[in-house]
Amino acid sequence: MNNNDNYIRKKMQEDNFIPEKVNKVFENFSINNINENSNNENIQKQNVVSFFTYKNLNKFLSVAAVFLCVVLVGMGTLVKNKSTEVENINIVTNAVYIKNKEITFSNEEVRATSENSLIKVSIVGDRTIAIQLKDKFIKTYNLNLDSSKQYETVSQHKNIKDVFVGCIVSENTPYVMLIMEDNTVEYIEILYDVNSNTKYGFNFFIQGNVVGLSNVVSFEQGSRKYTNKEGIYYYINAIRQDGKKREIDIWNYNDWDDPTTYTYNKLNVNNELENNNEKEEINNNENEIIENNQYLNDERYYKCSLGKICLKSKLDKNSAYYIENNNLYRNNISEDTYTHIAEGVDSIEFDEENNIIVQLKQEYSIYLNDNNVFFEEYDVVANEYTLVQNDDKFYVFRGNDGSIVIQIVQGGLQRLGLEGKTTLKENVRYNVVGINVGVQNNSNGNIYANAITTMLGEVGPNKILCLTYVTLDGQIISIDIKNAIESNSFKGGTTTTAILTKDKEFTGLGRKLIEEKYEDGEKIEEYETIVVKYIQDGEQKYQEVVCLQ
Amino acid sequence: MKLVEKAKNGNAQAFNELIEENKLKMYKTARAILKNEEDICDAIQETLISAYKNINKLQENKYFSTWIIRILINKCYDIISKNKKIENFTDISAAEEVKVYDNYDSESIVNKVLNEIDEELKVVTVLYYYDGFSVKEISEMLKIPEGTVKSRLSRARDKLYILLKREEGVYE
Repeated sequence: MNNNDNYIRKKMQEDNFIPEKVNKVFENFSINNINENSNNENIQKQNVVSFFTYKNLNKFLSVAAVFLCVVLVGMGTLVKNKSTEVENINIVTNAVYIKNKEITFSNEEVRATSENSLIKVSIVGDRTIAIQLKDKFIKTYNLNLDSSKQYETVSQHKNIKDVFVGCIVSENTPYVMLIMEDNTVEYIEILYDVNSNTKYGFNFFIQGNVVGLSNVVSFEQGSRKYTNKEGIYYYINAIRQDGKKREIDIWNYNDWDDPTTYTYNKLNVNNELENNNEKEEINNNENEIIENNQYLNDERYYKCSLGKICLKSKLDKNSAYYIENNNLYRNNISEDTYTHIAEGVDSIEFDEENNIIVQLKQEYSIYLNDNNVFFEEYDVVANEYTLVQNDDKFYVFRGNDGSIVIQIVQGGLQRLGLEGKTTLKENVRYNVVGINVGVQNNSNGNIYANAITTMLGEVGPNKILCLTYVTLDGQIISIDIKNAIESNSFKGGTTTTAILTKDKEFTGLGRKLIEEKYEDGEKIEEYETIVVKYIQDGEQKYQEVVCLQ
Repeated sequence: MKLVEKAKNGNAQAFNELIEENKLKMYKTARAILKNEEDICDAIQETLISAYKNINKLQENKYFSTWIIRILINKCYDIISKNKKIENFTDISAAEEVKVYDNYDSESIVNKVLNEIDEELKVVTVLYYYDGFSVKEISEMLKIPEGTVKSRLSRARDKLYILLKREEGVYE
């Protein structure tokens, strides 16, 4: 890392270029400054100059240019169809600026090709590939790109031996897998690259080594049904010289010897325990691709010493977990001991960060905190949740339907001085309950918040830890986290601080440094807080969020 | 530090020398936040005026660089806020911005590379690698936690390294 740091610093500091126009700002200021003997006069003069800033001059010129264009276009309409002019403007503004060089090559130069319905990738040099986005991909993501063009992407360190195009997660998220000269694997995230800096262009970028994968000779596309929802999960297997396969996990270390496979699928251990007769299949089908998520074949399971089928932690190789009669137990593998962690447990599964998520029933008791395990209250299951924000002691998740979930991390109650003062527990994820209007009922009849965006942070000069969310109908709702926890529900202490009416165009929540000053400009206090950002009458405005204690 | 003291006492030459010492830092920082040259010129000009007017309020002379960059960052964000309302006229402004980037691409490898990393990473990258500020100073300047600065630097580091290497190859 230090070498990289030094290299980057050196390269950046080698660059001493300042554009002429910017340099003139410094020069003009310098000349004015020296020529003026009186500071006050100087400042006054500078202030006058500041009204004629480059931008203002530019705006003036732009207005003049637009005026001229309008006249010309007006004249043009006498001889030309007006709609053609409009179309031309749209083409310019919507164009995505491509930074990868467009590349053309003869068929003889193509050494290997892989394609699916979304993209085509060809190896056209020792270290050069050409990426072509197909019409389906362009239409799916509504891009203004040309499917006939191919873009060059170059490997910096190693020659490329082979290429494979596949999908991970969904059938519309293509990945390029490259086998390098030393049989390691590097990859390109096509959708991520296209989505990066779309306003100014994008660049296909070889993300680097898929950690842990070595001796790879080929790949294969796999898919399986989700068990707890409709749809199919897509994955790519890497295949080793000896025929061994491993589902590729581009985000984590890929250990060929770790029998654990990477999956987002939900598993229900209770069901598995009821299907003892099928256990034999586990050993018979070790290396098969699991097409329909027959969880019995899943190598993540471990037969604990008591004859129980345990789920092995991905984060702690010495721990495995099992459910019996709705009780959750942890098996310390090396010591062969068992600990009762909780009762009232429905099922367990992995989340995207390899934590074990324990689904609780309506009535439950947690006896022990466990760093590998997070609990979800019984009604925190209707949606898929995405972690949208976290500080070190509180996590905020938002569901597909706008519902919000808060998790108090271990130590969170202590931070707020609430140990023993609440029935809410650390490491449990709770739904945020909606208030008044702007709420919805789910199939359980529970009322959830329906947020389009959320922000967690300190609010106001008293630095109240506050969750703020904006509802679909434009209400801004804030929850004082401490107050809510003391009230044993993430509903307490709420207040509506602003309603976004039709004349206000909401542009987001943000944080802003607020300076309170006396009339003479002397500062009273300064604090950073959450603000609602909106545009009204063409001007960007802010409103501070209020979080009542 | 004597220069700062002199500038505080109204010595224009001393102030100019301080600006000369810091002008590259100022330009790089503004360049990391703003997208076109006119805005950068505006931000720098307003910063120079503000700094000259307020240099007496600088309490610790040794923090002149931090202080003026902080003013500059605020000016840059002010300009972004003002520009937001203009963004509605996307047909014209978007085309202009792409043009500006064309110009910048021919400017330097570093700027070209910076264009390719996420917006939120740029400022932190420039403040750390170019301006030489510490994580703590950047945290205070941008009003974000030190952990956030570190994670942004971490995200930027590997990508920058590879991009810079790539550019070296292209231009060899």
